[in-house]
Amino acid sequence: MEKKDIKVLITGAVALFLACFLGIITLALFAIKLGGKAMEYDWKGAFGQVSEQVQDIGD
Amino acid sequence: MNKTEYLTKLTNELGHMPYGDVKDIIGSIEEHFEEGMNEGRSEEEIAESLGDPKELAAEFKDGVKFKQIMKKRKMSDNFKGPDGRGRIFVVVFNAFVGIEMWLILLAAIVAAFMFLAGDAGIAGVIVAAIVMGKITEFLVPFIFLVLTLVCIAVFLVVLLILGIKYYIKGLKAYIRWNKNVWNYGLGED
Repeated sequence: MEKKDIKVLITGAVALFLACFLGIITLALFAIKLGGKAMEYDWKGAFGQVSEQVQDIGD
Repeated sequence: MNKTEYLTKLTNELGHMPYGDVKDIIGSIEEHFEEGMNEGRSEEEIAESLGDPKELAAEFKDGVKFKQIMKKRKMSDNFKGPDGRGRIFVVVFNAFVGIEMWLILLAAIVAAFMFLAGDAGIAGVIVAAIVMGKITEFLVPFIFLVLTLVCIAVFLVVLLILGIKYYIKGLKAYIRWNKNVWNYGLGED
């Protein structure tokens, strides 16, 4: 393998490492943001509405 | 062609090979000339026995060592004619292993290229959305996603550059090996 190819190979290895590293950070950031959204969401209200609808169908 | 002319032509044909490799090759050829001349052969005879400098340079470029080339030359000089086994081997080997192997490798290169196109497309769409102000709430995660996609793209480009280069190199060597087996058989029994 030529020296030039080894340099290209090292660039690829660094890019792969960075992709993995940034990928994990990206996933964590999405999880944090979506988690925050889920916490803010009015679950009680939403489920209450569904319960009322189910009750109406039952009646 | 005398020794100097032969070496000049060979050096020109070796062209872009690393300086150290060219130096080693020229050194081994000079040694071969000296050995031949000690045995009483003329420079012209030795140059003729080495063959066309262009063909010799092509073999060196494929990474074949001088000793291997000379061994091959001796084999082909002593060769009495094909016995058919080499040709059967080439046909059977290519039908069940060779061609399939090269096609799988080609499919891997095409797949990498398609991954790269998809990766660049997704990154482009996200960047466009960020620039146009469509993404506001998840801005930071999306910026990190773009950076990740850029790194994946760099990795795929590297994979493609090396993959295509060594695919072509390997395929050329494989075809030459097939031709050799087809013409001269599988070697000594």
